[in-house]
Amino acid sequence: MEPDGQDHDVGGGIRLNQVGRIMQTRIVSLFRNVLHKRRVEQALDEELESSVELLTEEKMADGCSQSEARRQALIELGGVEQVKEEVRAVRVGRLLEDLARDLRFAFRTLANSPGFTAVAVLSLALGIGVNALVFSVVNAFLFRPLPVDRPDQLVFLENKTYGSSQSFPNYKDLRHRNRTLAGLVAYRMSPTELETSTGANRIWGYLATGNYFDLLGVNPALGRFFHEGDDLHPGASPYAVLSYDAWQSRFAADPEIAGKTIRINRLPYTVLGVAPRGFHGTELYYWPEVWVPMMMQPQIEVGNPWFDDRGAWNISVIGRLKPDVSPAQAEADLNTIAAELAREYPVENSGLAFRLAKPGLMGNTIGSPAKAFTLGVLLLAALVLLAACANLASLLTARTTGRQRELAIRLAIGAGRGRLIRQMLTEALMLSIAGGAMGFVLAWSLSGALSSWHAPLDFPVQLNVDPDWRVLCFACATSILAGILFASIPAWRCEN
Amino acid sequence: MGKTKTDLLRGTLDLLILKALSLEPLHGVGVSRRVAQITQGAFQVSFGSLFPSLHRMEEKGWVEAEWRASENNRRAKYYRLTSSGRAQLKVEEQEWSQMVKIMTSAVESA
Repeated sequence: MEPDGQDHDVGGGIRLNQVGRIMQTRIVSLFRNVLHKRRVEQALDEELESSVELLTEEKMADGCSQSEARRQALIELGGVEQVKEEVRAVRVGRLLEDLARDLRFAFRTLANSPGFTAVAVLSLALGIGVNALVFSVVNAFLFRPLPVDRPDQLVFLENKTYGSSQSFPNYKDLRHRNRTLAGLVAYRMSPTELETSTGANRIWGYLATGNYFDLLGVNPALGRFFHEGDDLHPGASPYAVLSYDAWQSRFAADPEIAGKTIRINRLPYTVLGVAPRGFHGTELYYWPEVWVPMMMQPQIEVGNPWFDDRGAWNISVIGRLKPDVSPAQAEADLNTIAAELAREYPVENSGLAFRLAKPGLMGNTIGSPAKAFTLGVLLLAALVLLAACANLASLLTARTTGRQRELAIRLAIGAGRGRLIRQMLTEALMLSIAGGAMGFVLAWSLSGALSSWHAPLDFPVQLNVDPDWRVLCFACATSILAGILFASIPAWRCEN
Repeated sequence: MGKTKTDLLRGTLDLLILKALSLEPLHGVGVSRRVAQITQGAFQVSFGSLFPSLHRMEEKGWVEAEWRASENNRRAKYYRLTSSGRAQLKVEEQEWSQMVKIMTSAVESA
């Protein structure tokens, strides 16, 4: 079907150019048609009138009388009003004009029954608000990426026997033997005691290997982070990185904090820097206050060193895939190593096997139940909205029955059924979008409270559920869907 | 022939109008007459399709309109091909001859 390649390309080039220019002139036409409607209509009148005259003259030249000529001219033209209507139908902005008319009419109709409108908007606001709120929790669990560099490359190592935990000697072997990961970090949530001007405080932090910040690709808000070389020998790296919140609340946002000494578990540590605002490691729900190099474990967790114990399943491991390596390839690579390790250390590692999961919720250990639970609640919320829609549909149907007369008149003066259904849909969408907007505001204010809520536990649990663009899209889609849903029943009855 | 006179494919109609305007600017009635002339009377374009087409082309920038005196000294709206209209005419001519080639070979292959 295609002409030879070169010819086609030339045509394509012209096309592209053309499309740009057409878009331009069409936008100009749109403004002209919408803003100078009177002038456009008048020009059309004049053009058709002059055409009738031209045709009349033609007929008179053929020997008709003037009145006969004009009659024939009008017949040939096919009716001035009909031609006008045909021209109007192809103008740019025709749909916009119809839409504006529908919206005006819908607005007046709804304003005439404020009681119905208020009930409809409020019940939709509640229904959509609940859905948006639950979705913002689902969003926080499932869709919001971790605040690190290229989060989609990160994988969390699950151990088929011990869930989210690995042993440190195994971690070191994985680091050296794998061929599919750009790097692996090990970390552990750890409680410690921090001394500040107000006395000793129990705080939660992370023990993390030296490559932690570099592999995640995070930049400090202040000072520097620790690196690979800062984490070589047990007990030799008394460094600390503070979280942004800890720096703000426990050290009064001291701009000179980097280089100062703080006391953790009664030992002096040098503060290297402060993590950026919003960065709280790789667990969505955990907000640590301090990061300490892994080699300080014997000082942080006094009396329980496990660096060399292959049977101590105490650390979590996250890897970054090399570019162009799929998680499945990496998993296969790691399991080859797991088989080697099982052979070499049968006592600790028999049956060792890995599975890769999305980081954020300790792999599937917390991830799976959390996802199942929130999706379940979302389903419940959807049912609430469905019930609201069903109520509104019956209200709307009752109204439609009351509007039989109006609808019959519109049909009689030539409105198509399609046009009537479009009108009803416009009214429904107007209601549901107003309800959706209110619902989104409702969800927004409630989720703010939820985000800043601290569980009364000795553990820094917090989940940031602030709505983002995903929640906004969800609320919009839900509103439109709800509108279509509760308009469809009266529309369907009208059709029959 | 009733069918071909009224149910012209929109693309064919556009091509004929562009072609009619390629020689000189014409008003609506003039376009209709010119189309009839270059098709030896085979196509009688109805004004109900002609004017929408002309207006659509004007909005796309393929033609420009201008009011001036007709041959009988009446004011009439004349349509003139723009450079992008000429480019479009070239494209549509190419597509048309391609189509004719394909259809001919398809019909004759049986």
